[in-house]
Amino acid sequence: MRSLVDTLIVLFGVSTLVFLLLVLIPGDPVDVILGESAQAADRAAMRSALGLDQPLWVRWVDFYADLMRGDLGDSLIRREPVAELIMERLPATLSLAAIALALVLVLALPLGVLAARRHGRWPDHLAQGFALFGVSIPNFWLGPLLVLLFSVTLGWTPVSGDREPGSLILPALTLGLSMAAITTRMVRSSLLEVASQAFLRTARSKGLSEAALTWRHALPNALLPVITVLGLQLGSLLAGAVITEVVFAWPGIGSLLVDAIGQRDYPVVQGVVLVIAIGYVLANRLADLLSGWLDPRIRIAD
Amino acid sequence: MRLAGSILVVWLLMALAGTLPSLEPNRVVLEEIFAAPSATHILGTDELGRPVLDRLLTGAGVSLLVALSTVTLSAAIGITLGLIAGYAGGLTDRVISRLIEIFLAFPGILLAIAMAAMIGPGIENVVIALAAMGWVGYARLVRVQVLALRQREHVLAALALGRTGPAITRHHLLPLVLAPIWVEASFGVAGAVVAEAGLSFLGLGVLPPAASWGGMIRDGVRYLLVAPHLILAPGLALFLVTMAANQFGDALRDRLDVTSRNRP
Repeated sequence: MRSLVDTLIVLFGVSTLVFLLLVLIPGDPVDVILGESAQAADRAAMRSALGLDQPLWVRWVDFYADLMRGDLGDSLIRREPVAELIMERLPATLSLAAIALALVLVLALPLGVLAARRHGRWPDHLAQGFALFGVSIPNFWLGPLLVLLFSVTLGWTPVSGDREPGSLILPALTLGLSMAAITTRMVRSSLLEVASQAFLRTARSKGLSEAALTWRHALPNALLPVITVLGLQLGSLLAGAVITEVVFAWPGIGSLLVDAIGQRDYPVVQGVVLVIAIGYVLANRLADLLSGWLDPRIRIAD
Repeated sequence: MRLAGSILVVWLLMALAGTLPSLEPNRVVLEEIFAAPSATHILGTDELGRPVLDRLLTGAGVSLLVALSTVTLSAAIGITLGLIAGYAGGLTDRVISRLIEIFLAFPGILLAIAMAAMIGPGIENVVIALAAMGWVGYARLVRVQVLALRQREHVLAALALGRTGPAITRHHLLPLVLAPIWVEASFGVAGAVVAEAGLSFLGLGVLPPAASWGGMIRDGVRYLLVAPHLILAPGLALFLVTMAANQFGDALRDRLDVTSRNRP
Protein backbone atom coordinates (compact mmCIF):
# COMPACT_ATOMS: atom_id res chain seq x y z
CA MET A 1 0.00 0.00 0.00
CA ARG A 2 2.76 2.36 1.01
CA SER A 3 4.70 1.54 -2.13
CA LEU A 4 1.60 2.30 -4.20
CA VAL A 5 1.33 5.76 -2.64
CA ASP A 6 5.06 6.29 -3.25
CA THR A 7 4.65 5.29 -6.88
CA LEU A 8 1.78 7.70 -7.31
CA ILE A 9 3.78 10.55 -5.75
CA VAL A 10 6.72 9.83 -8.05
CA LEU A 11 4.43 9.64 -11.09
CA PHE A 12 2.89 12.95 -10.07
CA GLY A 13 6.33 14.54 -9.70
CA VAL A 14 7.61 13.16 -12.98
CA SER A 15 4.58 14.36 -14.92
CA THR A 16 4.81 17.80 -13.31
CA LEU A 17 8.43 17.95 -14.41
CA VAL A 18 7.35 17.12 -17.97
CA PHE A 19 4.64 19.78 -17.75
CA LEU A 20 7.17 22.35 -16.60
CA LEU A 21 9.45 21.62 -19.58
CA LEU A 22 7.23 23.85 -21.70
CA VAL A 23 8.03 26.78 -19.40
CA LEU A 24 11.70 26.42 -20.34
CA ILE A 25 11.18 27.58 -23.92
CA PRO A 26 12.99 30.91 -23.99
CA GLY A 27 10.96 33.93 -25.09
CA ASP A 28 7.50 33.48 -26.52
CA PRO A 29 6.80 29.89 -27.65
CA VAL A 30 4.41 31.26 -30.28
CA ASP A 31 7.28 33.24 -31.85
CA VAL A 32 9.46 30.15 -31.70
CA ILE A 33 6.84 28.01 -33.43
CA LEU A 34 5.38 30.42 -36.00
CA GLY A 35 8.22 32.88 -36.48
CA GLU A 36 7.91 36.56 -35.63
CA SER A 37 6.28 37.54 -38.90
CA ALA A 38 3.12 35.47 -38.33
CA GLN A 39 -0.40 36.96 -38.58
CA ALA A 40 -2.01 38.14 -35.36
CA ALA A 41 -4.97 35.77 -35.81
CA ASP A 42 -2.68 32.75 -36.26
CA ARG A 43 -0.71 33.78 -33.22
CA ALA A 44 -3.85 34.06 -31.11
CA ALA A 45 -5.04 30.64 -32.34
CA MET A 46 -1.69 29.07 -31.52
CA ARG A 47 -1.67 30.80 -28.15
CA SER A 48 -4.97 29.27 -27.15
CA ALA A 49 -4.07 25.89 -28.72
CA LEU A 50 -1.08 25.78 -26.38
CA GLY A 51 -3.18 27.16 -23.52
CA LEU A 52 -0.74 30.05 -23.15
CA ASP A 53 -3.60 32.52 -22.63
CA GLN A 54 -4.20 30.90 -19.24
CA PRO A 55 -2.18 31.34 -16.07
CA LEU A 56 0.34 28.57 -15.32
CA TRP A 57 -1.64 26.93 -12.53
CA VAL A 58 -4.77 26.68 -14.69
CA ARG A 59 -2.73 25.03 -17.42
CA TRP A 60 -1.30 22.67 -14.83
CA VAL A 61 -4.76 21.63 -13.61
CA ASP A 62 -5.93 21.24 -17.23
CA PHE A 63 -2.85 19.14 -17.98
CA TYR A 64 -3.82 16.68 -15.27
CA ALA A 65 -7.51 16.73 -16.14
CA ASP A 66 -6.59 15.85 -19.74
CA LEU A 67 -4.02 13.31 -18.65
CA MET A 68 -6.60 11.46 -16.56
CA ARG A 69 -8.69 11.03 -19.71
CA GLY A 70 -5.65 9.86 -21.68
CA ASP A 71 -5.60 13.13 -23.63
CA LEU A 72 -2.07 14.35 -24.36
CA GLY A 73 -3.17 17.27 -26.54
CA ASP A 74 -2.95 17.59 -30.32
CA SER A 75 0.07 17.71 -32.58
CA LEU A 76 0.71 21.25 -33.87
CA ILE A 77 1.93 19.94 -37.22
CA ARG A 78 -0.22 16.89 -37.94
CA ARG A 79 -3.34 18.11 -36.11
CA GLU A 80 -3.90 14.64 -34.71
CA PRO A 81 -4.17 13.65 -31.04
CA VAL A 82 -0.69 13.05 -29.61
CA ALA A 83 -1.93 9.91 -27.86
CA GLU A 84 -2.91 8.38 -31.21
CA LEU A 85 0.45 9.23 -32.80
CA ILE A 86 2.19 7.57 -29.88
CA MET A 87 -0.02 4.47 -29.98
CA GLU A 88 0.75 4.11 -33.70
CA ARG A 89 4.48 4.11 -33.05
CA LEU A 90 4.66 2.36 -29.66
CA PRO A 91 4.52 -1.25 -30.96
CA ALA A 92 7.69 -0.71 -33.05
CA THR A 93 9.58 0.61 -30.02
CA LEU A 94 8.30 -2.12 -27.71
CA SER A 95 9.22 -4.90 -30.13
CA LEU A 96 12.69 -3.44 -30.52
CA ALA A 97 13.05 -3.22 -26.74
CA ALA A 98 11.75 -6.76 -26.26
CA ILE A 99 14.25 -8.23 -28.73
CA ALA A 100 17.04 -6.18 -27.17
CA LEU A 101 16.04 -7.52 -23.74
CA ALA A 102 16.04 -11.11 -25.04
CA LEU A 103 19.49 -10.48 -26.49
CA VAL A 104 20.66 -9.10 -23.15
CA LEU A 105 19.57 -12.25 -21.31
CA VAL A 106 21.07 -14.57 -23.94
CA LEU A 107 24.41 -12.75 -23.77
CA ALA A 108 24.68 -11.70 -20.15
CA LEU A 109 23.52 -14.76 -18.19
CA PRO A 110 25.94 -17.31 -19.68
CA LEU A 111 28.78 -14.80 -19.81
CA GLY A 112 28.26 -13.71 -16.20
CA VAL A 113 28.03 -17.31 -14.98
CA LEU A 114 31.14 -18.27 -16.95
CA ALA A 115 33.07 -15.32 -15.55
CA ALA A 116 32.12 -16.18 -11.97
CA ARG A 117 32.88 -19.90 -12.32
CA ARG A 118 36.26 -19.20 -13.92
CA HIS A 119 36.93 -16.32 -11.56
CA GLY A 120 40.31 -14.65 -12.16
CA ARG A 121 41.04 -16.67 -15.29
CA TRP A 122 40.77 -15.79 -18.97
CA PRO A 123 36.98 -16.25 -19.39
CA ASP A 124 36.58 -13.85 -16.48
CA HIS A 125 38.91 -11.29 -18.06
CA LEU A 126 37.09 -11.71 -21.36
CA ALA A 127 33.72 -11.07 -19.71
CA GLN A 128 35.11 -8.08 -17.82
CA GLY A 129 36.58 -6.68 -21.01
CA PHE A 130 33.25 -7.15 -22.77
CA ALA A 131 31.51 -5.34 -19.91
CA LEU A 132 33.85 -2.34 -20.07
CA PHE A 133 33.58 -2.24 -23.87
CA GLY A 134 29.80 -2.46 -23.79
CA VAL A 135 29.33 0.28 -21.20
CA SER A 136 31.72 2.64 -22.95
CA ILE A 137 30.77 2.37 -26.60
CA PRO A 138 28.18 5.03 -27.53
CA ASN A 139 25.20 3.48 -29.35
CA PHE A 140 25.19 6.12 -32.08
CA TRP A 141 28.68 4.96 -33.05
CA LEU A 142 28.08 1.25 -32.45
CA GLY A 143 25.07 1.26 -34.80
CA PRO A 144 26.88 2.63 -37.87
CA LEU A 145 29.87 0.37 -37.13
CA LEU A 146 27.63 -2.71 -37.06
CA VAL A 147 26.03 -1.60 -40.32
CA LEU A 148 29.48 -1.17 -41.89
CA LEU A 149 30.61 -4.57 -40.68
CA PHE A 150 27.56 -6.80 -41.10
CA SER A 151 25.61 -5.09 -43.88
CA VAL A 152 28.20 -3.41 -46.06
CA THR A 153 31.28 -5.60 -45.68
CA LEU A 154 29.80 -9.02 -44.92
CA GLY A 155 26.39 -8.49 -46.51
CA TRP A 156 24.64 -10.59 -43.83
CA THR A 157 21.89 -8.13 -42.91
CA PRO A 158 19.90 -5.48 -44.77
CA VAL A 159 21.24 -1.92 -44.41
CA SER A 160 18.16 -0.37 -42.80
CA GLY A 161 14.45 0.10 -42.61
CA ASP A 162 12.29 -2.91 -43.46
CA ARG A 163 10.63 -5.10 -40.89
CA GLU A 164 12.11 -8.40 -42.05
CA PRO A 165 13.71 -10.47 -39.28
CA GLY A 166 17.27 -9.73 -40.39
CA SER A 167 16.79 -6.00 -40.07
CA LEU A 168 15.85 -6.33 -36.39
CA ILE A 169 19.06 -7.80 -35.13
CA LEU A 170 21.42 -4.84 -35.59
CA PRO A 171 19.13 -2.24 -33.95
CA ALA A 172 18.44 -4.66 -31.10
CA LEU A 173 22.15 -5.30 -30.62
CA THR A 174 22.90 -1.57 -30.74
CA LEU A 175 20.23 -0.90 -28.15
CA GLY A 176 21.00 -3.85 -25.90
CA LEU A 177 24.79 -4.01 -25.78
CA SER A 178 25.37 -1.60 -22.90
CA MET A 179 22.58 -3.24 -20.91
CA ALA A 180 24.12 -6.65 -21.64
CA ALA A 181 27.45 -5.34 -20.38
CA ILE A 182 26.00 -4.00 -17.13
CA THR A 183 23.99 -7.18 -16.59
CA THR A 184 27.03 -9.40 -17.19
CA ARG A 185 28.90 -7.48 -14.51
CA MET A 186 25.96 -7.76 -12.15
CA VAL A 187 25.49 -11.52 -12.66
CA ARG A 188 29.21 -12.08 -12.12
CA SER A 189 29.59 -10.04 -8.95
CA SER A 190 26.30 -11.27 -7.53
CA LEU A 191 27.29 -14.91 -8.09
CA LEU A 192 30.68 -14.30 -6.47
CA GLU A 193 28.92 -12.71 -3.51
CA VAL A 194 26.58 -15.68 -3.12
CA ALA A 195 29.41 -18.19 -3.61
CA SER A 196 30.88 -17.40 -0.22
CA GLN A 197 27.67 -18.09 1.67
CA ALA A 198 27.03 -20.98 4.02
CA PHE A 199 24.16 -22.65 2.16
CA LEU A 200 26.44 -23.27 -0.80
CA ARG A 201 29.05 -24.85 1.42
CA THR A 202 26.33 -27.12 2.77
CA ALA A 203 25.16 -28.02 -0.73
CA ARG A 204 28.71 -28.69 -1.84
CA SER A 205 29.39 -30.91 1.17
CA LYS A 206 26.31 -32.96 0.23
CA GLY A 207 28.28 -33.90 -2.87
CA LEU A 208 26.32 -31.93 -5.49
CA SER A 209 28.03 -31.29 -8.81
CA GLU A 210 29.41 -27.81 -9.59
CA ALA A 211 26.81 -27.39 -12.35
CA ALA A 212 23.95 -28.22 -9.99
CA LEU A 213 25.43 -25.85 -7.42
CA THR A 214 25.62 -22.99 -9.90
CA TRP A 215 22.31 -23.38 -11.68
CA ARG A 216 20.08 -24.75 -8.88
CA HIS A 217 21.45 -23.04 -5.79
CA ALA A 218 23.67 -20.07 -6.56
CA LEU A 219 21.99 -18.53 -9.59
CA PRO A 220 18.42 -18.22 -8.21
CA ASN A 221 19.82 -16.35 -5.22
CA ALA A 222 22.20 -14.29 -7.30
CA LEU A 223 19.42 -13.20 -9.67
CA LEU A 224 17.54 -11.06 -7.16
CA PRO A 225 19.81 -7.99 -7.41
CA VAL A 226 20.11 -8.66 -11.14
CA ILE A 227 16.34 -8.33 -11.56
CA THR A 228 16.36 -4.97 -9.77
CA VAL A 229 19.12 -3.74 -12.06
CA LEU A 230 17.25 -5.09 -15.10
CA GLY A 231 14.22 -3.05 -14.04
CA LEU A 232 16.34 0.08 -13.83
CA GLN A 233 17.86 -0.76 -17.19
CA LEU A 234 14.53 -1.43 -18.86
CA GLY A 235 13.64 2.21 -18.59
CA SER A 236 17.04 3.26 -19.92
CA LEU A 237 16.34 0.87 -22.78
CA LEU A 238 13.28 2.94 -23.69
CA ALA A 239 15.33 6.15 -23.44
CA GLY A 240 18.23 4.63 -25.37
CA ALA A 241 15.76 3.63 -28.07
CA VAL A 242 15.51 7.32 -28.97
CA ILE A 243 19.04 7.42 -30.38
CA THR A 244 18.98 3.86 -31.74
CA GLU A 245 15.77 4.55 -33.65
CA VAL A 246 17.33 7.63 -35.23
CA VAL A 247 20.42 5.66 -36.28
CA PHE A 248 18.36 2.92 -37.95
CA ALA A 249 15.39 5.06 -39.07
CA TRP A 250 13.22 2.81 -36.90
CA PRO A 251 9.57 3.96 -36.92
CA GLY A 252 9.07 4.03 -33.13
CA ILE A 253 8.32 6.72 -30.55
CA GLY A 254 12.01 7.67 -30.38
CA SER A 255 12.13 8.87 -33.96
CA LEU A 256 8.69 10.44 -33.40
CA LEU A 257 10.26 12.42 -30.56
CA VAL A 258 13.28 13.56 -32.55
CA ASP A 259 11.14 14.52 -35.56
CA ALA A 260 8.85 16.47 -33.26
CA ILE A 261 11.83 18.28 -31.72
CA GLY A 262 13.00 19.28 -35.20
CA GLN A 263 9.52 20.59 -36.06
CA ARG A 264 9.06 22.31 -32.68
CA ASP A 265 5.94 20.21 -32.19
CA TYR A 266 6.04 20.70 -28.42
CA PRO A 267 2.87 18.75 -27.46
CA VAL A 268 4.29 15.65 -29.18
CA VAL A 269 7.66 16.16 -27.46
CA GLN A 270 5.90 16.44 -24.09
CA GLY A 271 3.71 13.41 -24.77
CA VAL A 272 6.53 11.09 -25.81
CA VAL A 273 8.77 12.18 -22.93
CA LEU A 274 5.89 11.59 -20.52
CA VAL A 275 5.13 8.12 -21.89
CA ILE A 276 8.79 7.05 -21.69
CA ALA A 277 9.19 8.48 -18.19
CA ILE A 278 6.04 6.72 -16.95
CA GLY A 279 7.23 3.49 -18.56
CA TYR A 280 10.52 3.90 -16.71
CA VAL A 281 8.85 4.38 -13.32
CA LEU A 282 6.53 1.42 -13.86
CA ALA A 283 9.38 -0.85 -15.03
CA ASN A 284 11.29 -0.07 -11.84
CA ARG A 285 8.27 -0.76 -9.63
CA LEU A 286 7.61 -3.98 -11.49
CA ALA A 287 11.19 -5.12 -10.87
CA ASP A 288 10.83 -4.28 -7.16
CA LEU A 289 7.60 -6.24 -6.93
CA LEU A 290 9.07 -9.15 -8.85
CA SER A 291 12.18 -9.45 -6.71
CA GLY A 292 10.00 -9.15 -3.60
CA TRP A 293 7.78 -11.93 -4.87
CA LEU A 294 10.74 -14.13 -5.76
CA ASP A 295 12.55 -13.62 -2.47
CA PRO A 296 10.80 -15.29 0.46
CA ARG A 297 12.81 -13.11 2.86
CA ILE A 298 11.34 -9.91 1.46
CA ARG A 299 7.91 -11.53 0.97
CA ILE A 300 7.65 -12.49 4.63
CA ALA A 301 9.09 -9.20 5.91
CA ASP A 302 6.31 -7.36 4.07
CA MET B 1 44.64 2.55 -14.52
CA ARG B 2 47.88 3.69 -16.19
CA LEU B 3 46.39 3.21 -19.68
CA ALA B 4 43.22 5.04 -18.64
CA GLY B 5 45.31 7.87 -17.21
CA SER B 6 47.36 8.14 -20.42
CA ILE B 7 44.23 8.32 -22.56
CA LEU B 8 42.85 11.11 -20.39
CA VAL B 9 46.14 12.99 -20.66
CA VAL B 10 46.07 12.59 -24.47
CA TRP B 11 42.51 13.96 -24.44
CA LEU B 12 43.74 17.00 -22.52
CA LEU B 13 46.64 17.50 -24.95
CA MET B 14 44.27 17.15 -27.91
CA ALA B 15 42.02 19.78 -26.40
CA LEU B 16 45.03 22.10 -25.94
CA ALA B 17 46.18 21.41 -29.51
CA GLY B 18 42.64 22.23 -30.60
CA THR B 19 43.23 25.86 -29.63
CA LEU B 20 46.22 26.23 -32.00
CA PRO B 21 45.60 29.13 -34.41
CA SER B 22 47.06 27.17 -37.34
CA LEU B 23 44.10 24.76 -37.32
CA GLU B 24 41.43 25.25 -39.95
CA PRO B 25 38.47 23.12 -38.78
CA ASN B 26 35.94 25.17 -40.74
CA ARG B 27 37.85 25.77 -43.98
CA VAL B 28 35.68 24.51 -46.84
CA VAL B 29 37.65 23.19 -49.82
CA LEU B 30 35.20 21.75 -52.31
CA GLU B 31 37.93 20.32 -54.57
CA GLU B 32 39.04 18.08 -51.73
CA ILE B 33 35.80 16.54 -50.46
CA PHE B 34 35.93 12.99 -49.04
CA ALA B 35 39.71 12.79 -49.39
CA ALA B 36 40.98 9.56 -47.88
CA PRO B 37 43.66 9.82 -45.18
CA SER B 38 46.99 10.89 -46.71
CA ALA B 39 50.17 12.77 -45.85
CA THR B 40 48.55 16.20 -46.27
CA HIS B 41 45.31 15.25 -44.50
CA ILE B 42 46.25 12.63 -41.94
CA LEU B 43 42.63 11.70 -41.20
CA GLY B 44 41.22 12.72 -44.57
CA THR B 45 38.58 15.36 -45.25
CA ASP B 46 34.81 15.46 -44.81
CA GLU B 47 31.86 16.21 -47.11
CA LEU B 48 32.89 19.88 -47.35
CA GLY B 49 36.60 19.19 -47.72
CA ARG B 50 37.29 20.22 -44.12
CA PRO B 51 40.25 18.43 -42.49
CA VAL B 52 38.97 15.71 -40.10
CA LEU B 53 42.03 15.96 -37.84
CA ASP B 54 41.53 19.69 -37.21
CA ARG B 55 37.87 19.07 -36.44
CA LEU B 56 38.76 16.16 -34.17
CA LEU B 57 41.11 18.38 -32.14
CA THR B 58 38.68 21.27 -31.76
CA GLY B 59 36.00 18.69 -30.93
CA ALA B 60 38.22 17.40 -28.12
CA GLY B 61 38.20 20.90 -26.64
CA VAL B 62 34.41 21.04 -26.81
CA SER B 63 33.96 17.67 -25.11
CA LEU B 64 36.48 18.53 -22.40
CA LEU B 65 34.93 21.92 -21.75
CA VAL B 66 31.41 20.50 -21.60
CA ALA B 67 32.46 17.55 -19.40
CA LEU B 68 34.32 19.70 -16.86
CA SER B 69 31.63 22.40 -16.75
CA THR B 70 28.88 19.82 -16.41
CA VAL B 71 30.61 17.93 -13.63
CA THR B 72 31.46 21.15 -11.77
CA LEU B 73 27.95 22.55 -12.05
CA SER B 74 26.29 19.22 -11.19
CA ALA B 75 28.58 18.70 -8.21
CA ALA B 76 28.04 22.24 -6.93
CA ILE B 77 24.25 21.91 -7.04
CA GLY B 78 24.19 18.31 -5.83
CA ILE B 79 26.63 18.77 -2.95
CA THR B 80 24.83 21.90 -1.72
CA LEU B 81 21.40 20.26 -1.77
CA GLY B 82 22.77 17.05 -0.25
CA LEU B 83 24.47 18.90 2.59
CA ILE B 84 21.35 20.95 3.31
CA ALA B 85 19.10 17.89 3.27
CA GLY B 86 21.39 15.76 5.39
CA TYR B 87 22.22 18.45 7.91
CA ALA B 88 18.89 20.23 8.26
CA GLY B 89 16.71 17.11 8.31
CA GLY B 90 12.98 17.43 8.90
CA LEU B 91 10.76 18.99 6.25
CA THR B 92 13.70 20.36 4.24
CA ASP B 93 15.14 16.88 3.97
CA ARG B 94 11.77 15.40 2.98
CA VAL B 95 11.30 17.94 0.20
CA ILE B 96 14.83 17.52 -1.20
CA SER B 97 14.60 13.73 -0.90
CA ARG B 98 11.37 13.70 -2.89
CA LEU B 99 13.01 15.88 -5.51
CA ILE B 100 15.95 13.49 -5.72
CA GLU B 101 13.55 10.56 -6.01
CA ILE B 102 11.60 12.22 -8.83
CA PHE B 103 14.73 13.09 -10.81
CA LEU B 104 16.08 9.58 -10.28
CA ALA B 105 12.79 8.23 -11.61
CA PHE B 106 13.46 10.10 -14.85
CA PRO B 107 15.78 8.44 -17.35
CA GLY B 108 18.71 10.90 -17.36
CA ILE B 109 19.45 11.14 -21.06
CA LEU B 110 15.75 11.61 -21.82
CA LEU B 111 15.59 14.59 -19.46
CA ALA B 112 18.65 16.07 -21.15
CA ILE B 113 17.13 15.55 -24.60
CA ALA B 114 13.83 17.06 -23.51
CA MET B 115 15.51 20.06 -21.88
CA ALA B 116 17.83 20.66 -24.82
CA ALA B 117 14.81 20.45 -27.11
CA MET B 118 13.08 23.19 -25.14
CA ILE B 119 15.94 25.59 -24.40
CA GLY B 120 17.56 25.07 -27.81
CA PRO B 121 21.03 23.98 -28.93
CA GLY B 122 24.34 25.64 -27.98
CA ILE B 123 27.21 24.78 -25.70
CA GLU B 124 25.90 26.55 -22.55
CA ASN B 125 22.49 24.96 -22.98
CA VAL B 126 24.08 21.52 -23.28
CA VAL B 127 25.81 22.07 -19.95
CA ILE B 128 22.55 23.22 -18.34
CA ALA B 129 20.63 20.24 -19.73
CA LEU B 130 23.30 17.78 -18.59
CA ALA B 131 23.62 19.32 -15.13
CA ALA B 132 19.84 19.05 -14.76
CA MET B 133 20.27 15.29 -14.81
CA GLY B 134 23.74 15.16 -13.23
CA TRP B 135 23.19 16.81 -9.83
CA VAL B 136 21.04 14.00 -8.46
CA GLY B 137 23.87 11.51 -7.97
CA TYR B 138 25.92 13.93 -5.88
CA ALA B 139 22.94 15.05 -3.82
CA ARG B 140 21.97 11.49 -2.95
CA LEU B 141 25.54 10.51 -2.06
CA VAL B 142 26.21 13.53 0.11
CA ARG B 143 22.85 13.36 1.88
CA VAL B 144 23.30 9.71 2.89
CA GLN B 145 26.88 10.35 4.03
CA VAL B 146 25.96 13.40 6.07
CA LEU B 147 23.09 11.54 7.73
CA ALA B 148 25.54 8.85 8.79
CA LEU B 149 28.23 11.31 9.88
CA ARG B 150 26.01 13.71 11.79
CA GLN B 151 25.98 11.66 14.95
CA ARG B 152 29.74 11.00 14.93
CA GLU B 153 31.65 12.14 18.02
CA HIS B 154 33.78 14.76 16.29
CA VAL B 155 30.69 16.48 14.92
CA LEU B 156 28.94 16.37 18.27
CA ALA B 157 32.12 17.70 19.91
CA ALA B 158 32.27 20.61 17.46
CA LEU B 159 28.60 21.27 18.14
CA ALA B 160 29.26 21.24 21.90
CA LEU B 161 32.11 23.70 21.38
CA GLY B 162 29.56 26.08 19.90
CA ARG B 163 30.50 25.95 16.24
CA THR B 164 27.74 26.85 13.81
CA GLY B 165 26.13 24.74 11.10
CA PRO B 166 28.05 26.14 8.11
CA ALA B 167 31.40 25.78 9.88
CA ILE B 168 30.66 22.22 10.94
CA THR B 169 29.52 21.41 7.43
CA ARG B 170 32.66 22.86 5.88
CA HIS B 171 35.29 21.59 8.31
CA HIS B 172 33.85 18.40 9.72
CA LEU B 173 31.43 16.94 7.18
CA LEU B 174 32.55 17.95 3.68
CA PRO B 175 36.12 16.55 3.88
CA LEU B 176 34.78 13.12 4.87
CA VAL B 177 32.20 13.14 2.09
CA LEU B 178 34.67 14.01 -0.67
CA ALA B 179 36.03 10.55 -1.52
CA PRO B 180 32.88 9.10 -3.07
CA ILE B 181 32.27 12.42 -4.81
CA TRP B 182 35.52 12.00 -6.76
CA VAL B 183 34.32 8.58 -7.89
CA GLU B 184 30.96 10.01 -8.93
CA ALA B 185 32.77 12.81 -10.78
CA SER B 186 34.90 10.39 -12.83
CA PHE B 187 31.79 8.53 -13.94
CA GLY B 188 30.20 11.94 -14.44
CA VAL B 189 32.93 12.88 -16.93
CA ALA B 190 32.29 9.68 -18.90
CA GLY B 191 28.55 10.29 -18.82
CA ALA B 192 28.85 13.93 -19.85
CA VAL B 193 31.18 13.17 -22.77
CA VAL B 194 28.77 10.57 -24.19
CA ALA B 195 25.71 12.68 -23.46
CA GLU B 196 27.17 15.79 -25.12
CA ALA B 197 28.09 13.73 -28.17
CA GLY B 198 24.62 12.15 -28.13
CA LEU B 199 22.89 15.53 -28.02
CA SER B 200 25.14 16.81 -30.81
CA PHE B 201 24.38 13.64 -32.77
CA LEU B 202 20.67 14.47 -32.49
CA GLY B 203 21.37 18.06 -33.54
CA LEU B 204 20.64 19.37 -30.03
CA GLY B 205 24.19 20.04 -28.94
CA VAL B 206 26.96 22.22 -30.25
CA LEU B 207 25.78 24.26 -33.20
CA PRO B 208 27.34 23.66 -36.62
CA PRO B 209 29.70 24.59 -38.14
CA ALA B 210 31.56 24.25 -34.82
CA ALA B 211 33.08 20.78 -34.60
CA SER B 212 32.03 18.25 -31.99
CA TRP B 213 32.61 14.51 -31.96
CA GLY B 214 28.89 13.74 -31.87
CA GLY B 215 28.20 16.18 -34.69
CA MET B 216 31.00 14.66 -36.77
CA ILE B 217 29.44 11.22 -36.35
CA ARG B 218 26.02 12.66 -37.25
CA ASP B 219 27.38 14.13 -40.50
CA GLY B 220 29.53 11.08 -41.20
CA VAL B 221 26.62 8.62 -40.93
CA ARG B 222 25.02 10.25 -43.96
CA TYR B 223 28.06 9.34 -46.06
CA LEU B 224 28.70 6.00 -44.39
CA LEU B 225 28.92 4.10 -47.66
CA VAL B 226 31.02 6.72 -49.48
CA ALA B 227 33.45 7.74 -46.74
CA PRO B 228 33.44 5.42 -43.71
CA HIS B 229 36.57 7.17 -42.38
CA LEU B 230 34.42 10.13 -41.30
CA ILE B 231 32.89 8.30 -38.34
CA LEU B 232 35.92 6.23 -37.37
CA ALA B 233 38.14 8.92 -35.83
CA PRO B 234 35.53 10.80 -33.75
CA GLY B 235 33.86 7.56 -32.65
CA LEU B 236 37.12 5.98 -31.57
CA ALA B 237 38.14 9.13 -29.68
CA LEU B 238 34.76 9.21 -27.95
CA PHE B 239 34.89 5.51 -27.10
CA LEU B 240 38.43 5.66 -25.71
CA VAL B 241 37.81 8.74 -23.57
CA THR B 242 34.59 7.27 -22.18
CA MET B 243 36.22 3.95 -21.45
CA ALA B 244 39.19 5.63 -19.78
CA ALA B 245 36.97 7.80 -17.58
CA ASN B 246 34.85 4.76 -16.64
CA GLN B 247 37.91 2.71 -15.83
CA PHE B 248 39.40 5.58 -13.86
CA GLY B 249 36.19 5.71 -11.82
CA ASP B 250 36.28 1.94 -11.24
CA ALA B 251 39.90 2.04 -10.11
CA LEU B 252 39.27 5.02 -7.87
CA ARG B 253 36.28 3.29 -6.27
CA ASP B 254 38.27 0.12 -5.61
CA ARG B 255 41.07 2.15 -4.08
CA LEU B 256 38.80 4.23 -1.85
CA ASP B 257 36.40 1.48 -0.87
CA VAL B 258 38.06 -0.47 1.92
CA THR B 259 35.23 -3.01 2.13
CA SER B 260 35.58 -4.13 -1.48
CA ARG B 261 39.35 -4.40 -1.31
CA ASN B 262 39.27 -7.69 0.58
CA ARG B 263 36.45 -9.17 -1.45
CA PRO B 264 37.18 -11.77 -4.15
